[in-house]
Amino acid sequence: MAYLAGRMLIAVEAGAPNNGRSEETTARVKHATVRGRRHPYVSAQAARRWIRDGMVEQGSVPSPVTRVGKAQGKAQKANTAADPIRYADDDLFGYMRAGAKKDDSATTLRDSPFMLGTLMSVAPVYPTEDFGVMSRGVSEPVLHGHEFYTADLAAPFLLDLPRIGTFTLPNTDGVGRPNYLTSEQALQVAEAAAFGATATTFRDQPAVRLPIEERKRRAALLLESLAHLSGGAKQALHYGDRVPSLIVMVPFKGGINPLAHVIDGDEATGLRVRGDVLRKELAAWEGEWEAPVRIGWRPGFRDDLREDFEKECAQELADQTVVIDHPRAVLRGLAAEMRTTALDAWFEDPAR
Amino acid sequence: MTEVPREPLPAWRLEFYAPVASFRDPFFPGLTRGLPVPPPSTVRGLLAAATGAPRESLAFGMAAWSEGQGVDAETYHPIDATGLNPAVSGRVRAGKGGMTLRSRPFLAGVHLTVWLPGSEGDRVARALRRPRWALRLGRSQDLVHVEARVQVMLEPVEEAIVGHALAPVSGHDVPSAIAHRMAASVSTDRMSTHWADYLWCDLPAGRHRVRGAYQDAGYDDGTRPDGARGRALWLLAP
Repeated sequence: MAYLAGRMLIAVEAGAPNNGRSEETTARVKHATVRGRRHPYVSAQAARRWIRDGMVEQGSVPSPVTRVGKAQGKAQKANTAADPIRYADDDLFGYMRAGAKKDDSATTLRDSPFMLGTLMSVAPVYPTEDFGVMSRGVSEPVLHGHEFYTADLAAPFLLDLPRIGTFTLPNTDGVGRPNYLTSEQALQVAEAAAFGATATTFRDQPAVRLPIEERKRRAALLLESLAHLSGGAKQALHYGDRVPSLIVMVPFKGGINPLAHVIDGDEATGLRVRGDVLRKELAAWEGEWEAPVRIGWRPGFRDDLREDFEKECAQELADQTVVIDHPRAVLRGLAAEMRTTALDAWFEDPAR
Repeated sequence: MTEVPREPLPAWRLEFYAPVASFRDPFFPGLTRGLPVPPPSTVRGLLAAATGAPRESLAFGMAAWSEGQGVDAETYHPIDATGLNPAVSGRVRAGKGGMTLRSRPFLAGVHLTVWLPGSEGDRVARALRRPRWALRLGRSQDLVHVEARVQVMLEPVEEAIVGHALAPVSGHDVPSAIAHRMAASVSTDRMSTHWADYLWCDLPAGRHRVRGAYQDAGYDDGTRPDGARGRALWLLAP
């Protein structure tokens, strides 16, 4: 196995977790127009920020910065981060560091091994526009409107497990630029070796790779961060829980995600969770995935859909091909399994 | 444009679906204008991600359309090369050369169909069963789903329904088609790009005379009220 494919759903109740540009005095929620109807969304960038901050809350060391300047009687200088060897967040979320044009230094980038799509509302929603007035102690009130909505937002995600803690080096014709270390950083390979990194070949490219214990630790951190997701805009005015209400995860041998329609919606009924779609997809991709399909479903979230889903997948649930539990239990359980040696094979590409 | 051998051609038809995707038009530096369809070079990248090869240079046919769109506001955290404005946990202070906000147009519900002909097509279509790298279309966050993978026979035609397929400028004379200049392929060191003009109809154009085209008789992109099957497609060289 190499990829953890998944789809997650966040239920927003009267919230505005991600806002676009405001118009005059009104803050607008982000939305896309699909077939002429509005679908609010939370951008992937915003949700990734929540997860990244969650990792830091859990004690993962963020890229720190040291600065020297006047106080130390030296020229101002700060060492930048973007060091994926040392910091789990730079490794998992990637970055792009543009070199200075004048000294023609190379651009380095790390393509994120954790990919998360846009959290898009499964059904069209018309956001409510709230009229706000600030009139305390002023003669002319200040108007400030904002939009908020109630919707189920779903997004696909894909975690490229072997690529965590693996850094390809560019070869002479430039192949392997994404995700690479420059020559200057290749010099840091010596430093990386101090962290136990070894030189290897990764998907036909020369690479430097951290020891598996560290790579597993980083993957586990990410899942644990998802298990207590929080964040977003307007938390004081529209507080809401952001832990996924529903999450489906299946490990695959290749970089695909067949879960697009397992959680989706239609205009008439809103959210749909379709066991028949899941069964058909698993059958179509037989041999490419590994049981069990891990489903996290919050108790009390759309019990009607859950009942139908459990009926539809009764056989799979009985033989443990599909397991259902609380999203936190599922995510933290999988993270705990990763920390043992049980899933080590997931961190290597399958034999082709 | 390759010389079309006028005989039926076995091929794989692959249908992809991306809930959200964004394709920047590189001819507008400094502002983000979006293209309505993925450029052929983007699709080549998708195929190369599946096979794990540095590049894929087979000729393929493609058609694309999307259900909707929007404009996202993206926060950029540029990492300053001088180190004066360092990134802390992926965040950079606002200010000149620091954190900034930009509009980014995107498409919602992107449908992409790719035809992979011949033995090369066989190889790539097989690789799509177990892609070596993650399949994405557009930005690194735009995951793409493989919806269907079937073997079809492409027949050379003189007249066919012109749908959402990309055509070379010599491919047809549909008046409503717009020519988009897009990357046909990008060299592996990303230093040189081969540009070409492609005709694309945002609304299917109906039956027209076509040149150098094939038809996939069983294909219905759902755009014809009468449910007529069969659409023209053109094989695009790198």
